[in-house]
Amino acid sequence: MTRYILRRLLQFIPVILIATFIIYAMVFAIPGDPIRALGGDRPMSEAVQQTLRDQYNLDDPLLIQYFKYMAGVAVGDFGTTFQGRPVTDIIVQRLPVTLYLAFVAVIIQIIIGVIAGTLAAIFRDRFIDRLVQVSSVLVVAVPILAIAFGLQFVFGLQLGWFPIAGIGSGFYSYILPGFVLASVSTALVARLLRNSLVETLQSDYVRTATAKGLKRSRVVGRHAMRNAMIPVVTFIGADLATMLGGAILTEAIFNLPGIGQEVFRAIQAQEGTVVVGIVTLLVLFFVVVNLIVDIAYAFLDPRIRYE
Amino acid sequence: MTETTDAAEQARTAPDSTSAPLLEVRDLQVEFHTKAGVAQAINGLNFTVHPGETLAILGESGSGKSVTAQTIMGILDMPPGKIAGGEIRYRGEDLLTMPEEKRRKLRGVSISMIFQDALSSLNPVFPVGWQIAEMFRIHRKMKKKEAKQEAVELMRRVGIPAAEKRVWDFPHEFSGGMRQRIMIAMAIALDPDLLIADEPTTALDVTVQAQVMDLLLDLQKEYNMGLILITHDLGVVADVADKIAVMYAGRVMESADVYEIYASPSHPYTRGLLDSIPRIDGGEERLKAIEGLPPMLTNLPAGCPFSPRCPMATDLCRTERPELERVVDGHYSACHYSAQIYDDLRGGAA
Amino acid sequence: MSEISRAQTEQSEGSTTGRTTKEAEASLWADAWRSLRSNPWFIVSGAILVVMIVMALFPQLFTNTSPGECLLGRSRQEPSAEHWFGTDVQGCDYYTRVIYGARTSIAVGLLVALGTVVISIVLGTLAGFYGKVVDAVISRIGDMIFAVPYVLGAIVFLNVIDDRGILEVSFILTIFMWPMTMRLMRGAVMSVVNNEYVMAARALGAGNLTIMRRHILPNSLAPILGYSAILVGIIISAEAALTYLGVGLQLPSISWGLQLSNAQNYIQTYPHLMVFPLIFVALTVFAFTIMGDAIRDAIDPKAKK
Repeated sequence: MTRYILRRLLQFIPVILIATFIIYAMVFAIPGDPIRALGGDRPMSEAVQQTLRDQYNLDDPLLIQYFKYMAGVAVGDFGTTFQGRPVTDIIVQRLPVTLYLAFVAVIIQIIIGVIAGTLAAIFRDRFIDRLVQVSSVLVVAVPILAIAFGLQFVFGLQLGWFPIAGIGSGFYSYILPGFVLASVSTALVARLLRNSLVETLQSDYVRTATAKGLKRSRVVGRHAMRNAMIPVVTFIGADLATMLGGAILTEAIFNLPGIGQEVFRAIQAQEGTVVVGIVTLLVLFFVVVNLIVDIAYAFLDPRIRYE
Repeated sequence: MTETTDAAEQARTAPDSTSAPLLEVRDLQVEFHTKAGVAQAINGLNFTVHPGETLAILGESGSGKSVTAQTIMGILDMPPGKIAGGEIRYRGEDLLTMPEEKRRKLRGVSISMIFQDALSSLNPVFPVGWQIAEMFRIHRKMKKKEAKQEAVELMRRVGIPAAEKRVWDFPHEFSGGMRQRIMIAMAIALDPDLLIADEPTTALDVTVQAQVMDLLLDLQKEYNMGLILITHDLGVVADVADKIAVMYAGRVMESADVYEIYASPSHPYTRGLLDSIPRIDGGEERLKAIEGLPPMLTNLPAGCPFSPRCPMATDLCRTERPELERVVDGHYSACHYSAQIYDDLRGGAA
Repeated sequence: MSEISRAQTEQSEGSTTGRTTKEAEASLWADAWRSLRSNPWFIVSGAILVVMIVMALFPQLFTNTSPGECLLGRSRQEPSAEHWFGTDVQGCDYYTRVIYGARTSIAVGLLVALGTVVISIVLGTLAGFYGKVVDAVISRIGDMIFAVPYVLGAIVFLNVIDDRGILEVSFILTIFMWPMTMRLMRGAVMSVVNNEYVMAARALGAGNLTIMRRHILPNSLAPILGYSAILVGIIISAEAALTYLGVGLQLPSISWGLQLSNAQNYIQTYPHLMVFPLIFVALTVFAFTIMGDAIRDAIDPKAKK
């Protein structure tokens, strides 16, 4: 197992390096001189410009710049903005908002998705199954923008239950964006669990569990569910990484000061260090989460063995 | 002591005369409602099992053997399955009208079952020891540690080497024979009165088959269980069964004790089956297979279900279904001509 | 058996294999069509799509007004008999603007889907068929792109481009979309590459190209083709989102995403500016997704699981 983890990590190193390099190159290849742009109307002295250039290694070839930057990242230094603010500071300040949002979304996804999927499977082909199936199709088919504005309009403006922007109301501020971010995943979890549980309920070992004289609740809740959850847990894990991408849009619509909004702002302001810092963090997160999912898979399903 | 164990205990200490049957199946009818129509999986099934007795139910695939087992256990998938009539009496009480909770407490405790494919019938994500111990934890309310100890004991009893070490291994880490032994351990864990074994050795290698069957019979004697052995293998039956019921298209065609069946099969179907087994003294003679295929259960013939394949069928057979009737004491057959066949055989032998 | 007769037998076997594959294929499509025709979801989404596509091709059929006819004097009017959807900030007839928006969204959707599917089929087949190094290279490139959330990647790339029209946006979206469908194709190819009819063809001396064209492709296209309509929905949704964020299409393009983007400041005061384009995006994406679901279920029943 240890060897497997090591090998996976090694395999991922080139993926991380090249992915971040491409982002780095794109951000710093933006036409125009970011240093001059920084000065705005007031032209900076040549000396100040040169200091900044040296600080960001802007006169080095791109590849060298990149490796100097990554060497910093390796020891936890994500560089500084042109205004001299450490990127790590920005991340520390913004990340909690995004993590909170993702946390609310995952909780919604697990609670609603699992309950809906389980009910649909138990009452297979009955009304509740149809309801779950149709609504999951609808949620997946409607674009996220429409869901977001729809919820804002109805629950924010018309009913006034939840705020539609900012994080001023604490937990309440996260409910609508949480639902938006979780919507598609919740529908997919419900559908996945429903199908997986339906299949499991027909399996021989569930029949054995009934023949052992176990209560129906134990047969379904323990013997069937433990098997049916395997693909669902894998999906939720892998989806967590996708969710951080979705956070950019959600944070923009609901004006949440999270890492997604920050990266978007930084891209438009051409603040390369911030963009690359955050993207590197996200890619690392993606890689680690995927690895954890694979390892969790081996624990959930004893038949899987990694060498 | 808990309620469950009391009930089981009471059942066990009840007067155990050989005349009181353990299980009586009367006129059982099971249907499957499918898109293709209603399939008559079991129509009018009758048999009896006494304590300590082995009844072999013999039949081709699709004859309703497994459906019978599942209906007795109460694990038939409904829908599509539906019990259309009849009764299944366990120690005189009808299982089909019993409240589900009461029936559940009999499952695994008084009546238990061994399935054909142990690999798919054991839960892949739980250790085998856990699965055996669950019987003690749920029905006997034992603590985890105690239950595990019992599981190790049972694994040792069914012949699993290094049971102590393997108790937390998963089903896929065992060989086929060992897995079936684990299924057996789980089934006999609570000392049931009746054990249903649905093709217990079919999925195993021939050499392992004999070992597992021996174990099963040892345990049956030791625990004095009634055993319903469901099989399509005539070779297995001859050695182990007390009584045989031959099933075809959801009905018993012939039933009698094992010597009687082999000595004087009085139903053309049974004769066909016996003719199709290879014999060591068979000489040059070619094996005879029964011509044709079993009938579609959605579209059974009007008369005797075997009539389309029967070499002796007459117009009577095609129009009127023969009921299971006494040939001699303890020997029943569902054929209009069974008395005649029986007499011919006896006459020929005399 | 003589050499000649053996060769003949092999030849006839070979042609039998070929014919059964083709027949199976034909009946597969016929089955798919039959099950689609009786699927109400397919009928409903098909009807919506027909309307939307006609709208994209011939917007003049739906409105006589030109989308450029804007009078600042009638800016931000509520919906009325004269202007069904009201007017926008520039005082253009909003109904006309929304109608003309269909073309852009659907064009991007189809263009990207086409590009993505073609790239995926080529790369997926190569990766699945040759395996080893080819597979490793293609799959790792896919992994790299996959590791960056596509919204983020698209934003970074689009931000570099100053003039963003349909082609530019489509190009960037294609770059970030193909790894997902390539995996689908690669999986499908890998599941048929070791089938007996492929082995048989190989044993008969068929070249790699012939095997891919005659045996691999026909048997591994179903999943990706089944997915392509769903893909169009995803792309239209993505384009609207990126344009809404301000990194997608730009004026003078007429697009639902731009309309949404302009409307966000008026969501409280003039909700009609938000509602109408939103309904159109939602309906279009909905129709493509539902149609895709129906097609996929019909031609690739395995994907249902």
